[in-house]
Amino acid sequence: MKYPAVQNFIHGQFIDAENSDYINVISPVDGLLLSTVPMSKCTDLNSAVSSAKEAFKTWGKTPIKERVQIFFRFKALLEKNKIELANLIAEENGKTPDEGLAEIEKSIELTEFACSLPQLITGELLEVSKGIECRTEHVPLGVVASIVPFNFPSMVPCWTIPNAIALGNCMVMKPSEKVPLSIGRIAELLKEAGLPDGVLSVIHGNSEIVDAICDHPDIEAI
Amino acid sequence: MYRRATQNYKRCLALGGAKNHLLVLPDAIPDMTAQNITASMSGCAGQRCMAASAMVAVGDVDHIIDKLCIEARKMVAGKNLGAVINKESKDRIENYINQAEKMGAKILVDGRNTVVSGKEKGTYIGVTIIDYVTPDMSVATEEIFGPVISIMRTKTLEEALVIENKNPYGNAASVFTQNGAAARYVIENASAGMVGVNVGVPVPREPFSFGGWNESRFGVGDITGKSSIEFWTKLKKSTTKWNPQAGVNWMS
Repeated sequence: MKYPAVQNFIHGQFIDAENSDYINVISPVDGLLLSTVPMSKCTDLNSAVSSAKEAFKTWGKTPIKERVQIFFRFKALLEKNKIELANLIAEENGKTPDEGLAEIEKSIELTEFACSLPQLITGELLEVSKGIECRTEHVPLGVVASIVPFNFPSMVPCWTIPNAIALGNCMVMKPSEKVPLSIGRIAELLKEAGLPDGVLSVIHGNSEIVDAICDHPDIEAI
Repeated sequence: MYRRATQNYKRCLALGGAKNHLLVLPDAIPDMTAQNITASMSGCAGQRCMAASAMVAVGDVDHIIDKLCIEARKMVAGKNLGAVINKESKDRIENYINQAEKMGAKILVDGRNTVVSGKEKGTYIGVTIIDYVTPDMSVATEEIFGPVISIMRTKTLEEALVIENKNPYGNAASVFTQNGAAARYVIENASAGMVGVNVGVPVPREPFSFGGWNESRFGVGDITGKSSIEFWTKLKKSTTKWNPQAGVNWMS
């Protein structure tokens, strides 16, 4: 096995799933056994959601201009590591290294958009009658989740992670069990970029976890 | 998933399948069209929700189909064409091709039984072009998610749009032409969220948002771009008054 068994990422730490079965992660390129991935249980999801709820108390109140600083640094880290990330995508998904690189370029573009959110999210204010003002502001939802398919191990997670988190939410990510490796590097790079513990969690698994996410009372949006 | 999440009163945006139609008109630039279609159908081994999966040849475009076959043969598995995700996927895709052949379609370029030397356990399918597909074939209507394109033929643009509109999905559609009016007509009448003109993969780049229509997307709004602001936030509305002299009326 080329890489160690995949772990969940909860509260800023990579940890083994509790009492779970593992399935093989096979490279479509040549059939090589790359790793094994846990089929996490509800208890793992509950840990991630609790951590996200706790993190949201601070993250949700952090000004957006501060929050996006993480993504400026994340973007720079994607650029710095793009060859390695592209090759990992190619290995686990089967696409060519050039296509893996294009996927990272798109992940960078998505992150760049999240960095621009403070310019786009200003609220509105109007004096609606003498001395009385109405104001609107965009506030985060809380704990949210994202469930992603196998075909873009980095780009599709980057559809949701930068925007949802920059907008103040804390996210539980459920990657595809077919391509669980790239997301681990993304989580590491976000931590390196300064993302506080609990703001992003990664829970690996199958449809059992998808159902649990759909049913979890503390998850606001998917 | 969408049903389960929303039954639990969650906000949900769920992206579905796709069957993207590329409408090719006789005045399309042959080289550009052939290259764009090949890139769209073979990129990521066709495992993209934006991949070209059905081509509608409007009128006589045989000269473009000939070029398409030449371009398609330049895609070499294990070099510039990647693998599909696993054996089940490979078998499923090859089964689609077999079915179409059995029903009388003509396989112009055949990617079945592709083996890459030194990577025998890899799961590859070569680029496959199926011509004379009829709308009753599964390759005409279902998402194949492999490097396979099904060519259907019509006499008019209207007939081509009937085929496009009839499909339950609505992620992307493209038209290849040098006629601005025809292009505009397709933009207006294709039942797809993302339309390309002489573009094989019409993914809107940031700050524009990504999202299909019909059964390609469940929920409100798009997944990326400015649309994501509405999805990931809620609005707080506040009404404030600090001075006792402020007007008192029916609203406040």
